[in-house]
Amino acid sequence: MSEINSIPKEGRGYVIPAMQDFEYDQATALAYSIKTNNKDAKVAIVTNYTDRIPHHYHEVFDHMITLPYGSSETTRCNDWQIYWATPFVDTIVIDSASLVKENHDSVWEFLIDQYDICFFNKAHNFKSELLENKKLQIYKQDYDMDIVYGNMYYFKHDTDLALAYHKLADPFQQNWRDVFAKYFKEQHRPKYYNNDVMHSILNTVILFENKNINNDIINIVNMPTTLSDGNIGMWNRWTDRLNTWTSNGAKVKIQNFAMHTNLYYGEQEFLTEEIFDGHKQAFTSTAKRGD
Amino acid sequence: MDINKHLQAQRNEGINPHYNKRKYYIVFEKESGKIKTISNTPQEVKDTERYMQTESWNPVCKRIIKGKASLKRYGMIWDLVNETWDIDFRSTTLIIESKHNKLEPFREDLDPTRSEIFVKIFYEDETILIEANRNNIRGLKNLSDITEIASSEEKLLDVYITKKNDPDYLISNISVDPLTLFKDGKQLINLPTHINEKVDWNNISLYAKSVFSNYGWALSASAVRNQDYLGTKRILQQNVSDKSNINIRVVDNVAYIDSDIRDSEVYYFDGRTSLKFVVCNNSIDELVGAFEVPVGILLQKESRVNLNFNWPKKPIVVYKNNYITVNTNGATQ
Repeated sequence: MSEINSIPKEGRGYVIPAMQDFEYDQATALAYSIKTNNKDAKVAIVTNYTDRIPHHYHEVFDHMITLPYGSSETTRCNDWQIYWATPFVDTIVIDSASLVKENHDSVWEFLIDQYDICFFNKAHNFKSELLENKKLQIYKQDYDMDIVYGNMYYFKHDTDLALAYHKLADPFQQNWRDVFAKYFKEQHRPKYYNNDVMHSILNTVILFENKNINNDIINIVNMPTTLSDGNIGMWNRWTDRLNTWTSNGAKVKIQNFAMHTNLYYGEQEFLTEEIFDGHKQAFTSTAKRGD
Repeated sequence: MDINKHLQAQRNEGINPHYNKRKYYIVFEKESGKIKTISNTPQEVKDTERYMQTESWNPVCKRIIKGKASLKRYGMIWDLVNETWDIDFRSTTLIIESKHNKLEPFREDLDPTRSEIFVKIFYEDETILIEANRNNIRGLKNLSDITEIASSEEKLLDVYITKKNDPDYLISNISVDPLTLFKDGKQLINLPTHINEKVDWNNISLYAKSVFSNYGWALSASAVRNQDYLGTKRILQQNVSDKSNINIRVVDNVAYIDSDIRDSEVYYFDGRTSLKFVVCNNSIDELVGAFEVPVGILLQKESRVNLNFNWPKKPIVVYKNNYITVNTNGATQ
């Protein structure tokens, strides 16, 4: 524990949880995208075995940190450990299946100024239309839960609220099946670990007095919710139906819409070699310009 | 009770199974088999695209009308033997049975979109793709609910490869798992090893037990990974570097098109007379030009089309078709 507490915390930065090989690819592409659009941003990857991260990915990460208390089978089940694993005072946790296509300076300033911990409860589809999140509405209607998205959130280290949140998240995430069974009727229990549902429970329990009433801090295009809302029909994967295009400067388009804020794509098939290489090239040329 | 009347009723029932039974009219959704209304009198069906009406003598209709049985638990099924629609209990078990003991031949010229079971043999890949066309298998409307398959005999859907027009000369048989086939809509199976050494693929026939009415098959050297094969349906397709059924090489603003598409594959174009190609350079935002090729030309092995724009160095060729893949390998300018 003393060793864990000795991880010095300074500045602000992004923490990306990743444990699988494909998540290392995603995390690296995400880190490239963060650093291309956010000069001097610090990025840490948190994983179960740092020696499994391919060597040629190391350059983009400022920190590679091992999960301090072992790991659960599902990557995002380990979110509770990030409080102790983060090397930053101010942390944005971001799912590896994401890309950042905008500058976050003003977002950082607002979050640091206003919040100890902050989850976002708005998401958009690829056309920038607000999503209803029909799948999770049942938890709001029947269980009076505060619905939030778990793919991206902010917390400030050494605050009571963030500590309480992650302390409760520890038993909740480690025993997620029991938690879902305790809270929900059988017909509403997710069969697999659902990070949005888990963080919605934790938000309802811990942050009921500190609800995020300012919903428009950040714009996130959430493709898994776009799919589950039925915006593009019934498909197993949104990539089965929608075209994605990439061009110079790591520009990414879904259908005719350019992604210029934050994209949570959530689908392994999305990150093609072409998109990965595009982000690597953009990062390399940005880094060269910085030098 | 008058015994004579009773015996007469029994005799009548033997002659006419509908004797002394009330006829009901059921309006149901064509796609899902979901029942809309049940009544004693014929109903006017306004939306004939979506709904159809059938007659039924099933006494359960009376129970449903009286509210003694739940409509939600019943659906429409296709009676394979009598070839009529009837109401039945919804179930997660799919019951399949052979109509008779004769083997049903697969037709080589059959349009896959009109078949119920279609088989594609890729002899270079040594694989066979069995497709169940769920839109055409009218009797199996609740396919998404199916978790079990019940059949009166095993190997009901197996495919038999025989010498051409000779079902007695068996070359090989392919075991098909009905559950996978109906759940996924298709099943890719490896052919027996070294089969190419003993089979003359142009001299074979395929047979199956007579569960469905329309069986078709096609022979190809190897699979083209098009949208249909991958089970995806992206709105636009773009050129790939894999093996494709259309290859475009451009020399001096003339596109030389090599096509593997056969006349029997005209269904690829869904009744359209031409296919449009949009050409961009390097990225989708850099439009260079577009050209249109009549389907008749794409059915030829080799053809050429004059272009009115300069072919880019890094072409992105975009088109709308789920069956075709295009590569521009060897494109020069």
